[in-house]
Amino acid sequence: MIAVALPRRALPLAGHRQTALAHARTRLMICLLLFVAIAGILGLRLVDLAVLHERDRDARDAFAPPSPPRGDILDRNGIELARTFDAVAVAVAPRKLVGDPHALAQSLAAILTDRTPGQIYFELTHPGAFRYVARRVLPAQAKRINDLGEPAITLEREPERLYPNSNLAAHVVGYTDIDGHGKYGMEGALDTQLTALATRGKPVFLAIDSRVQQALENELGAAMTKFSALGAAGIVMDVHTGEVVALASLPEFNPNIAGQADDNARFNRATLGVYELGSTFKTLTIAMSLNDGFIKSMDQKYDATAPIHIGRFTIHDDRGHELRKWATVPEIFIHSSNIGTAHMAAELGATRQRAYLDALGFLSPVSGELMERGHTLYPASNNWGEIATMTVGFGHGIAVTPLHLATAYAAVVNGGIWHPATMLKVESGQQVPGKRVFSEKTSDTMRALLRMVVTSGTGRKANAAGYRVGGKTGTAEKQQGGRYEKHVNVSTFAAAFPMNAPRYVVIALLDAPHGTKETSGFSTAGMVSAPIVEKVVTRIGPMLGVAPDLVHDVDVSGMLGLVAKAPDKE
Amino acid sequence: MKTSLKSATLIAAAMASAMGCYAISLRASAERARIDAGRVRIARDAADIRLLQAELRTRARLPELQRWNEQVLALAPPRAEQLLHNPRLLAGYAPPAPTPVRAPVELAAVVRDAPAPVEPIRRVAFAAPRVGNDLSADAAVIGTIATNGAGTFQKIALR
Repeated sequence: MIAVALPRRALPLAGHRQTALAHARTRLMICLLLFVAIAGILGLRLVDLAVLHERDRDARDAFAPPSPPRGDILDRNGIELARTFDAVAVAVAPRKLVGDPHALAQSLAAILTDRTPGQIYFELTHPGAFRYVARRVLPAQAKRINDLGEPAITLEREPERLYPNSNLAAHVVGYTDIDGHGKYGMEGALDTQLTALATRGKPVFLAIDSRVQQALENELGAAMTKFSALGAAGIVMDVHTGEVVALASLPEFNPNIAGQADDNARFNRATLGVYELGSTFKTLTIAMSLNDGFIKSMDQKYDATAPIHIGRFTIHDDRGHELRKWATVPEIFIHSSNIGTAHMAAELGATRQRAYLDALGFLSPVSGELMERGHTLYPASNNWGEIATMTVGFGHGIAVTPLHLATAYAAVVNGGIWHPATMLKVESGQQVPGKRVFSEKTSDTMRALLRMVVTSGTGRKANAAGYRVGGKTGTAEKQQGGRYEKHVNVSTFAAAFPMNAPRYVVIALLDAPHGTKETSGFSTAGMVSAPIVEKVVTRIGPMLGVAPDLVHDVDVSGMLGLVAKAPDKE
Repeated sequence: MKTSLKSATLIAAAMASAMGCYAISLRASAERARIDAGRVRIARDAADIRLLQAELRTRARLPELQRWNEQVLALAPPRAEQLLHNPRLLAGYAPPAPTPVRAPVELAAVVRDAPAPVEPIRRVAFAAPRVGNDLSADAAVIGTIATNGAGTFQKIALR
């Protein structure tokens, strides 16, 4: 018997079809909602990308030139003094080294000519994880090293600081260490500003004018060689703003290879070195006495008949320059009489002298942004008696930096207002801090006196034709090992020009110059430093827009009328 | 039939607008990419300019120019008398104007009638370049150069 089972057929039940249809619709609806949701999400993301992120990108402007890792330093006319570039450093991960270190060291030394195979081998076999083989290599060398194909050797990009003008203004610009931190000069002083993200994009404008700086350095260097001096310092300063237009200290160094410079070259003689600047201080003593009314007229006479014996000291005039009489103020100034000036200072008194020196900044470290700022040496206040007052009056017993002297001379000639020195450019119209120290009238008289020294006194060699230079010589015996050396001088000439309306102060200082046949063996300031000022002024006058004038000059005839006999030479 | 036509039109319209939007977006993105490429080029050029400026400055650094001047050029700063204060002084260095053809005839007459005025003008003329801003003196220089010819001009120019 064959039993056949028929397949069971689902019987269409009433309402079943409707239910199936409803299910299908529900599924369709869910799918539809899913699509809408996906489309919605996509739409929202698009809006997010297109609107919100786009705005972000605009704000950050990803394609704008990136600000350098360290800000540029420019001079007042926009000439580059320091810039940063991408350089390449060769590094090695010794543990990952594949090739033979001996052979690799040989082939690297063939490319990096300043390193020996031994030095390179030392780095390649060092137990550390990361070592530099060489830093700041040339792009061509980097390419050849890359071509060696050693995977453990990597080329790292790192910023490199370049000083295009090499030695120019090295003491002002300064340098950075290998890791890009400012160590000296303005690089050190403005390190935070130069590296901060917000400010590094904007270059720093210094007050330095490279052309003036070059003229000053060149003339100082020539004189230093000619007179076999140990060093030299020079400053050109704007008398109305205190801007240091040029500041030089010789010998100098190349900031691109600052590590190779010796300490003597790195020593900033203009802001860190303190010197007894001698007779240049007489200008200040006379200005103080004039300002406080002790000198009522130029024909007032002071005793210069004989040396002053006070305590165990004797104050006498330089040999061959003794006046041996009661001398007028212009006579004392033009003959640079120590005795006359000492009497003047004694009359002024220690308290007033101290107050003036304080107001002129001599009792504090020198102004300006540099970190290399010298502390002045002066008598302690309880020891500032009559002797100290007298010697300080003619510039002995007080040691200051040449920059101190420049700010004080600026105050003497600019109408009597002292401004702190600044290495940064002062925009025209910008307010500069300043305080009145001398009256206008004092300043006017001092200008005539200073001009007279150059037309008819010890500063004749500084008389740059047409530029109306005025100034004062200062020859001080150098102190070495606690005692004064008779024949070793610090010869300074402090000048300003044009004297009818002074604009710039120029200081030239030679440290331990030797006389030549041309100077008849003299190494005094009038012989060795004054000619530097003449040459510098002739060069920088036209650059700084000072028009030479051979016709108009400061009238010194009134002063000269009070001088019985002008000195022949210093 | 009517409904299917309507939906077909709708679909077509939606497609068309979607295509249009896509085309616009494509163009916009192409334009944006070009702008970005331009910006990248500007950034690269700016870096190159910095590099070239520094190279130029390094080659033309002032100590180097000074060395060139000392060894080859030997330029000296201008002397005070070489710097002129006004255009009139500069005009004094101009080449002399041609002498009038009939000058000899006139000169004879002038000399006979008034020989004196010729001298003072000449004296002022020699002093004039130093006086600088004196107007009448300058005028005299030009006048003298014009009448006296090349000889006087050379004297003034050489001073």
